[in-house]
Amino acid sequence: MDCLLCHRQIRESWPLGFLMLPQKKRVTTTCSDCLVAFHKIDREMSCEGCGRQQNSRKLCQDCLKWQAKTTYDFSNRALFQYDEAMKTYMHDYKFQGNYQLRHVFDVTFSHFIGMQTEVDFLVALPIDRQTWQTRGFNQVTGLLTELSTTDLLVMDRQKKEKRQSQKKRRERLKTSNHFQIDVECPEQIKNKSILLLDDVYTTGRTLRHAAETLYAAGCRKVDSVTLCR
Amino acid sequence: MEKSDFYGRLVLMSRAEKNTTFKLRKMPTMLVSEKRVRCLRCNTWLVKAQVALPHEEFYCPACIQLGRVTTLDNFFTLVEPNHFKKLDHYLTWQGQLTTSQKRCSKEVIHSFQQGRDHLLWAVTGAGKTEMLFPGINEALKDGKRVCLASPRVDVCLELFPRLQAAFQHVEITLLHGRQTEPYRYTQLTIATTHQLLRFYHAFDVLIIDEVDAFPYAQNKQLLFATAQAKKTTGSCLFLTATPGDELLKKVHQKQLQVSYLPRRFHGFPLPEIQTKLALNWYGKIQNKKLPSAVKQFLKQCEESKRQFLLFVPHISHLEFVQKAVNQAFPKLYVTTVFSADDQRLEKVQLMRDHEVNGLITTTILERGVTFPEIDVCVLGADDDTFSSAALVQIAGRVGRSPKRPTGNVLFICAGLSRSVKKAIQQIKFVNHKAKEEENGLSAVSSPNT
Repeated sequence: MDCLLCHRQIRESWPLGFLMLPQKKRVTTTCSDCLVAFHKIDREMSCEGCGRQQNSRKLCQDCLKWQAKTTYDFSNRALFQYDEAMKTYMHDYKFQGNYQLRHVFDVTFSHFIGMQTEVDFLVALPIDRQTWQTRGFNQVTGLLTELSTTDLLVMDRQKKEKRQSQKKRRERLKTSNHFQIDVECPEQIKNKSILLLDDVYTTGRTLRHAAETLYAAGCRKVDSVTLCR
Repeated sequence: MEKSDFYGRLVLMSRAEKNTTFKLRKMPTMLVSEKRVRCLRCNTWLVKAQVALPHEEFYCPACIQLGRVTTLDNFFTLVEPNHFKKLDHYLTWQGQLTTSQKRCSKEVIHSFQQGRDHLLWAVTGAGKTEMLFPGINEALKDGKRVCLASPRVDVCLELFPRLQAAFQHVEITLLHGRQTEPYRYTQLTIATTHQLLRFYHAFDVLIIDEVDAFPYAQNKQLLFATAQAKKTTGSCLFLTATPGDELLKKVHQKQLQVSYLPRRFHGFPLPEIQTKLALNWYGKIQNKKLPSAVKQFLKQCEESKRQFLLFVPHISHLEFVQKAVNQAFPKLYVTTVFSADDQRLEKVQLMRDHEVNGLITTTILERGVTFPEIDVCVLGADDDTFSSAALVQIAGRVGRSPKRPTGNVLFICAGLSRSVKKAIQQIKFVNHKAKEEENGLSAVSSPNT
């Protein structure tokens, strides 16, 4: 198997014990040289509100602002730092549309989600119709393996409007809420706890829009997990 | 988009796209069979399961750098109409060609007129580019669309000003991966071979420089691109100093016309390769010691104040070799150059400015760069990374200047590998050809390599 990122062959060791006691071996998709470029976030050294890497568990500047502005309870946890290596990866995966690259993180990310506290519903953030036509895949559900998510939300954006990733920070924060609840029976989400899943937490605007929509529909607790922050 | 943007090109647009002002030819992007799909731009077969998108759609990861080909899109194209404005004069270049250059360029023009493929085997430093000018000139005069493609960006960047100077009134488009200017429809195009994937039956004359260079040789994608970018009636001209087996086979089978340019522009033969055996050169270098042959070579360079290039097989060897050289020759100032080096261009410039005595490098400097009066040494020439083409190119770095048309080419290896032998043979063959030409003998046979 060649590494998905550098296309060089991955040399794997096959320990003796493995040969004697056959078990399902995890397929390595990325070589160790490429993986060291990504940096995991240390839980003890991350912001309690958004999960960004810093020096303590305290709320960061951005989260303090959110706390002053909003009344509901919301926090995010992230697995990786959104550094240069991760930006390149996201560019290739999401914007260039190399769907194969989901295998670089899908197992790790799904495992990370599985370690969070139990919730009633896992909800991957949806993409709008136009993105389905051009990109052809939802970058969040691509990163999940064997996890069952529920599609509670739909995203509806005006055609002319820019994507979040094309905007400046200030523009992003001004964006209005495009999420709507899409369930047949609204009773079924009343008083339920929900974990939102997304690829990147940047300003937190999108995730909070989703959370607001769900709280308005009567959910008890909404939190989120992202691949990077 | 303008109409001319579609002439002889494959433009990707969403399959839902409704074009209004003019009618376009619509073509599928991928061929879907039972278990596999084939990308119709780069001709790669892909396993369905690996390249599937949700909802039974597929994409091609092989040529994704040029914009993703998916079944969500269609190719749109228009037949190349050769709509070019006629000029009175195309070639503004005033220089003179040598007799053998003239002979070759006549043969090339003939092939262009016949619409046949042609191989031009010219030694390193023979003045290939100048020799092309008459051929390009004739093609432009006939209203043909011409493209000059090279596998290397550096070569394209270097060719562009030279061609612009030679054809001052002709508009030239330069296409490569880092290009920011938008595409323009012009009669003459300079492009990297990867960019050819974007064309479809566009060129009457397609010239491929350095056919043997990485990544063109052995890359089926690019070979397909060449075939597809050329019109069915068009002709292709391959330029090389070191033709590979496939091309030579075609020559033997008379499918390909061939011209030889065995003489450098200054008329001297290529410096021949000397080999020295050093069995444990790698072990020695790890202990910061140089094999005696290298020491001797460097000593000669130091005494005569000549610059040198020292090639090693892998990037990981660079550091050891530099340390070993520094220890043995503290007065020599050397630095290392490799592909991922941010300061690659600056370091090469240092060498040009005679700020350093020598460079220790990998195959990245095997071609394209010219330093006038240098010597060359290859450590571990029998390593797999050095193909015979690379070795001939490396040897061709030497003796480029008429002031010093000779020089040392030293290969240090633990044994004579096939590619080393082949390289030595090829150089001997072209030098022999040069002599033959001098004596007016035209009976030509290809080497038995």
